[in-house]
Amino acid sequence: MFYIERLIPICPAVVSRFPRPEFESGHNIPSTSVPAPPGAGVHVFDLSLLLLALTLAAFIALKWRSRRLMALLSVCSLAYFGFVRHGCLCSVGALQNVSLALCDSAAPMPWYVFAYFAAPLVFALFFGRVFCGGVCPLGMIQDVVAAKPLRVPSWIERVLGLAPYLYLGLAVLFAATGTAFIICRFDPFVGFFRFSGPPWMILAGALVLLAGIFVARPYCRYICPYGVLLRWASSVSWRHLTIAPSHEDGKDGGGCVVCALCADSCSFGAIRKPVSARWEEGRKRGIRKLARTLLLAPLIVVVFGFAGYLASGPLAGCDRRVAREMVLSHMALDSHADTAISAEIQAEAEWVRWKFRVGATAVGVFFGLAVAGTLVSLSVKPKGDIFEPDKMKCLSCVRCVDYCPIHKRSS
Amino acid sequence: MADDGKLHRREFLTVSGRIAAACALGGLATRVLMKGGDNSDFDKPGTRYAWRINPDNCVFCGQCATACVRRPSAVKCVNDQKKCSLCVVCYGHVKDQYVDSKKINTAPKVCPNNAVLRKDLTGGIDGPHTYTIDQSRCVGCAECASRCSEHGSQSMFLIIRPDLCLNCNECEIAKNCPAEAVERVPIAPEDDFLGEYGMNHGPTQNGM
Repeated sequence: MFYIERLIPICPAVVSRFPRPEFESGHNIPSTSVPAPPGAGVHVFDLSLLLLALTLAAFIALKWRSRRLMALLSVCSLAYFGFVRHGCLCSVGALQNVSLALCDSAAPMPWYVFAYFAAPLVFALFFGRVFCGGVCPLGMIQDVVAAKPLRVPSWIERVLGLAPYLYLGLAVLFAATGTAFIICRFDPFVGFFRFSGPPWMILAGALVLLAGIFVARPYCRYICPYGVLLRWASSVSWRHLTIAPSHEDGKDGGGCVVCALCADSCSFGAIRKPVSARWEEGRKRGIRKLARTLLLAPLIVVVFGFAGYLASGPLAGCDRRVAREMVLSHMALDSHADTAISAEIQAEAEWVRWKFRVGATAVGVFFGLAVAGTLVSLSVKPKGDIFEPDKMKCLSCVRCVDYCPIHKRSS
Repeated sequence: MADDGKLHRREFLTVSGRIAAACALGGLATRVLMKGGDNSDFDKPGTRYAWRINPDNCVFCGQCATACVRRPSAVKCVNDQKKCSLCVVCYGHVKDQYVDSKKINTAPKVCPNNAVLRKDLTGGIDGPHTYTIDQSRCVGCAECASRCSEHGSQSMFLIIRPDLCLNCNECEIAKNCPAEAVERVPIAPEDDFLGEYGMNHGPTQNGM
């Protein structure tokens, strides 16, 4: 209904209603000006702080291996990037600007926004998810409340762990079509950072924080779409946090003596236990299971792709251009008059619908691949004979290091 | 460590994955940041941007005052002095336009915060008066701009003050605006942003 008002043209006054007085005395009419926005300087400053924080986090996770320092860094990050800068710009949201700029060449894309998007990924490629461990204000606000983390059963963990893939797909779809920035719109914590916001946003944030007392960092693990990219980058990282300090021979975590003291130390279920011999026995069964899953994978991808295609209609309805066209065509139907909708509006809506059809199918395929990938990972033999962090899940928070007896001895 | 072949394979996969990820990031950077095309500086990527209200679309609904994440809102009303007719009785100033000239200063005001300031320019009670809007009192409710636009010389309009705007990625006002009047516009580095805000909309005065 909002769109109707827009169509009523504001009648332009051809002549001014009240001619202004003519001044003979040479009265100088002041001109109205708009204050200039703050320069790019503040963003460059923020960016250098972000890079500094990332470097510090990398050093703390890999070199100094100190939870206390990491906690200090995270409190500072939370204070500055969260409460001082009001949580904007953030790397998580910048992902949408990049998606939009990819698809719409007219979209504004300042270089520092791209740097915000890329810097944590580059660091993850080199050192693991140090951004999650000590910099991201969204993660840090949850870290503060994680008082009594419970262990999440692995099947729940896996099912919920798929949600970020869907969220990432939808966020990219909505941003790329120019519909909305849903990560920003449904950001649960930005209301806290700004001390204002719609009631539902504060309520959602409070609920996530409440859940965060018992399930450590639920947003990061089961919602955060940027976390998916970080997971991928971290999985092939050059170096990564290790629980036991590196052995003399240089192998990461080579000093582990499999004492299992760290086994339950991780609040995020990100520690991989040594693989028992059981797997070797069931090798034949494992191969058969893997083959079955691989055969099933294409079917899963096709099903989810088709589901995405079916969902494209309702999803496109969220777009203001499509909604406007729908309201107008309803009005045209109701009035039975030949108030034809302008071809321009119709063409634009059709163009957006086409983009949604393609995009939603792609999102469906992407999610299908994520589901298939999870199933495949279940049937692949895990490797490793020591306790080590799962590079994809590990948030590099350095908590586990304190549980390692070798660490205590060496320091 | 028993089977070296497997370890090597995993290592190889990791390294290739790393290279692929680096290439993907690099490709994305060139694609996003180097996109050329238009010659106009305005569309060049890498420029800064700001939210603004398109005064031609604005319907003065008052959402700007409440929807903004800032309290008070980053939206303020301004009066374009080049367009203002310097009326004795201003629609954006007093509620009752038939009020006696002598009682205008004490009559009920349109602005709930009394932010529209009236100043006598010549000393005569029926002479020209200037109207300015006290930016510290204004909350962007659009009451004055609405009346000025409807009945007056359309010199009052709303702006998003770029110095107050937090430049949120998703503008709450844009989300709530019923007229799609709030848009994100790129600003070129050389643009000082003065006079950017549609100062030329509406009727123009002769000779001004």
